[in-house]
Amino acid sequence: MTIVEKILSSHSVTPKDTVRPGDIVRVRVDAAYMLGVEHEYLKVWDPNRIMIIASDHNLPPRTKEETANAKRSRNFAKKWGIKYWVDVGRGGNGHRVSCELGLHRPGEISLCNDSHTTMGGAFNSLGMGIGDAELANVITKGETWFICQPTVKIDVVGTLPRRVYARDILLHLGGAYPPFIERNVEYTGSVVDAMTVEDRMCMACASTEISCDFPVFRADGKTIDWIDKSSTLPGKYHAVEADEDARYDKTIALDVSNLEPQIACPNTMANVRPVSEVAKEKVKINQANVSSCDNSGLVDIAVAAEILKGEKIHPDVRLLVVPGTQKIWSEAVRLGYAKTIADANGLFCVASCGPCSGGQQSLSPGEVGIGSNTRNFKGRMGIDAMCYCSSPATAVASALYGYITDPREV
Amino acid sequence: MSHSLDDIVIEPAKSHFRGRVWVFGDDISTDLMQPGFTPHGLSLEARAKYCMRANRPGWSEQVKSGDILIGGRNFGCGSNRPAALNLKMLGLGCMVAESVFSVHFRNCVNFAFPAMSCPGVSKLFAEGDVADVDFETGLVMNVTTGKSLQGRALPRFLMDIMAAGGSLAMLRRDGYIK
Repeated sequence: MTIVEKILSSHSVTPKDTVRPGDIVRVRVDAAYMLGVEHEYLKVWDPNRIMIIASDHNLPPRTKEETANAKRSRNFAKKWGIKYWVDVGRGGNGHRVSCELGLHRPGEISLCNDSHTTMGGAFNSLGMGIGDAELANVITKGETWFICQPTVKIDVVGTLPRRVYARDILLHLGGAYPPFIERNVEYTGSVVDAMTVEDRMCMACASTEISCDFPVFRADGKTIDWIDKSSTLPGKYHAVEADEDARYDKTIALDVSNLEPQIACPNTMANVRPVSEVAKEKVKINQANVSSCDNSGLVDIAVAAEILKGEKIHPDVRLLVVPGTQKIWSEAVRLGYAKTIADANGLFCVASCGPCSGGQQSLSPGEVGIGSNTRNFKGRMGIDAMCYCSSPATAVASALYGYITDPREV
Repeated sequence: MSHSLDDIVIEPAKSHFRGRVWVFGDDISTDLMQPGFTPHGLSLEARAKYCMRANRPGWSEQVKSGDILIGGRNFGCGSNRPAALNLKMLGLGCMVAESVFSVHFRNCVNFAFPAMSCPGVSKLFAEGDVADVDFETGLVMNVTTGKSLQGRALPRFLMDIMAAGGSLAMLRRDGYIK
């Protein structure tokens, strides 16, 4: 069996020795988290396996609806004694926080309503967005269902060139291949083996945009180290390897040695081109961002600071840099990244989801934005605005020049 | 959204549909079906009118009760937002697409709006044709042309959730929502 098939099998509510593609499996869940409480009157299955975050898409909460939701979350967490209660000022982006708290353990299943719950795959854990209605099921019963899909193995080999990153790999997969819809994806190969955990988190998270079910990685020493330092979930976990004779739908060998920085142009994540090509068109931008669950780690902010050191961004551009969590925010301040960004006239923001879902600093009609936000869909970051998705390096390089710029030139 | 999902009562779904089709292309995201710019505080019916406003303005006003949506590849990609509820509230009976993103598919089940993957379906229909769709057998027929295709039938377990009016109705029924 593949990693996904093994985890589904070990979590089946009715004992199952094997799980095959096409099977519908009812499974128990190891942890769950809510980005604000939608369902006030739910009963709770196990308060020691649940995280509630007061707000992350809209942080700090401003509108009547947002503050009411934060208050409802606060009351709910107190009432049920929720172990992982994360109030304003303690959190940031929900997926980044759940990873910091070690809620995605190897061989386990951790779920949230939001589509980018796939981030858990970085830890050899199954994660997938399930929507508010299904999360209500999980919070009350500790179980859910999945249709087991076939798995595609993507073997990433070679060496990532200068200024080409984990995010570029996922942008490339979105543009060069049909959607991986109704498939799981197992990432292997020397490139992912050599990657930091944060970069694997980016790959797993951005896998939502290639429309797969579960993206998943092997667990190695870096995974185990992260989990053992952070996780306080009850019980032992067991990392899972694919069987020697696991059946894959197909295997893709991806050599990234010649991969260029990639950019998803408006309005779909399949409309991907090399940045060098788009740069020739001198596309003027109004706003750039380094943000979102995909790219709000310390590694991402470090890249931004490195490119901005001693520079000023273009006078017609706003640059937002949004750390994923309070912890990352503090580290970015301690290491001087925040000051470098501010000195360059960038806005170093509070830890949150940032502008990605259109909540904060939306684009005005006719404006053009570029950034590491998760998606470029029409209308998402502002009505009648154009939105490009790239790595943080491409976004920051573009902020310096005022038009879409190949980051290898800075 | 300002509506608490606790209060929503959804009409249970049937397993067999016949209706006029609307044909959409590839990569229709849930952002298009439930735009972030939808104003807060609207009724569910009013909110649904914002469905597809960015890509097909005026369409939501033309949908009649019992119509069927035919989609292309990667239907429902993107966010977990409950766009299925907007499709349901517009009066659409069901949807069939080349492929359906898993997050959207689950929301369809939970809001009692049957959705089926059926490779080839976007070429089977022209807009305005009449479709006959059976979720128990997976048979998708173009009544206008007489041609048909075999889609992926839905397991009984999922049909039962939709027949009960979705997952929240089941939680209420079973006493999990106090």
